[in-house]
Amino acid sequence: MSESVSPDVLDRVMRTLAETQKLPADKVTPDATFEQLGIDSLDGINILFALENEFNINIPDESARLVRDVRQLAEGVQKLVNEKPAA
Amino acid sequence: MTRRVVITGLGAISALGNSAEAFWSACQAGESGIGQITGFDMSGIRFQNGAQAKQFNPADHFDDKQLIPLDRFATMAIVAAREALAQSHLELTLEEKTRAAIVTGSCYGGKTSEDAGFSSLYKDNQPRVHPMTIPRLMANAGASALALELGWQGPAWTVSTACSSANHAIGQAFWLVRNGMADVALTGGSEAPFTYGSLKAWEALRVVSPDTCRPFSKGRGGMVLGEGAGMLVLETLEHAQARGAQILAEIAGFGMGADAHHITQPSAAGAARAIRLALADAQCSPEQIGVINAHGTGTAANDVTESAAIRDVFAANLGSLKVVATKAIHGHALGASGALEAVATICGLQQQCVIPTANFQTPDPDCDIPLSLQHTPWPHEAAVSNSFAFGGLNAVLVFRRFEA
Repeated sequence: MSESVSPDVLDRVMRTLAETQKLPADKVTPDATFEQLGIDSLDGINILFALENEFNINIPDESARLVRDVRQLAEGVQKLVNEKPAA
Repeated sequence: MTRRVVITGLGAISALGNSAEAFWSACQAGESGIGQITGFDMSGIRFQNGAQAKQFNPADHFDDKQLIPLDRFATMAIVAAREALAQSHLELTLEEKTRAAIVTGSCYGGKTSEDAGFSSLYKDNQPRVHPMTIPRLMANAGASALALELGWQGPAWTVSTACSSANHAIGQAFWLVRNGMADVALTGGSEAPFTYGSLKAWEALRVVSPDTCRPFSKGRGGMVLGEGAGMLVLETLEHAQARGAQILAEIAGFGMGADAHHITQPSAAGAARAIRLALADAQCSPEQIGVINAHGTGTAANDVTESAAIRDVFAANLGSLKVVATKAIHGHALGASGALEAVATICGLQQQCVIPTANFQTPDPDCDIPLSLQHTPWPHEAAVSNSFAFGGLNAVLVFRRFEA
């Protein structure tokens, strides 16, 4: 999976993640891994919930399980945003 | 002198039917009660399967008036208790009823009534809810209704510790009888978690399998919700023998503790500690245990940590024990799970056999335990039944084969 991520989606993903995790925005970079950011499985669920609300998407369990860093997360979100039926 | 406590009656409501016999028969066959969830529009939910007690209709067991203050979870507790009491042939005098205890477990209480009542307020703008909403939703509704039906006036309460509720309840009832505060007890758990709100909440936690429950199997996808009730009649050995009751097994030990580790991630050390406490309470060595009824939820996390805990405690006799995981059969019935697993454990002790772990596909190197995969004779003196709840609350029971 390597979806080309729009700057807007990447920015919103990073902002949502930082807000959910109460992290300073500059800590959350596209290359940061969840491990580096101290994100455990429960945090992961909270982040997915926030992203589902932010982008009005449904993130399936299976694809979410494989994500390890911010860029992969943004790529996954972008894919779901692209698949959304146009409003 | 310590009083010995025995089991003289079993009752079960589950996805496998409305009796302990139907339940045990499915356990022996490795038949899973998991199937498409009905009763809701499931189109907006990522998982579709559950172990609903589809054969259980409260109206078959209660008249309309009786049902007014009873949620589904309470009716299940009562019907399972009636079965257990019928098997035990227990008849108590008024005096004896003051020393008869009822300890039940439930994670949710009357969620079905709560969900229906509150959604009518929020969604349909109804101005009021049913006046029996509180009596129906209180987690102790099953225990209270049983006390009323039976006229038992001894200690009665309900334990709510998520997935460990029934084991905590059974353990406390056991200690109550062993320590002389009651002579008989009715104990177990019941749960009716199938409401739309509850299903959405489990979906959000991302631990539910998209297909079925495959404990300890490689490629397992998570837990599957179940519903039902399990009930046990406990009494002192002396009491049971004095009235010539048929003794099914002995309840020998109980251990509990908290992981103090993480709200949803289990800890192998915490699980192992609870198992060791239960063995110590039963004055039983690990080598005396021949069967473990695992918590075995089928989630990635539980099954790995539980395997580590089993390997730690039973390192010396892994070759001579079997692990069974019955949630593949009855689903994860939350506060009722430990009670259904106790029924399976006691029946296994009685018949000196182990049962298949349903839905198993491929061994997982991270779950390196001697999993039972078929119904086969298995002589064993004692068995352990594990429950490890979200929130890190562990409760482990030890049952022993009864020999007169």
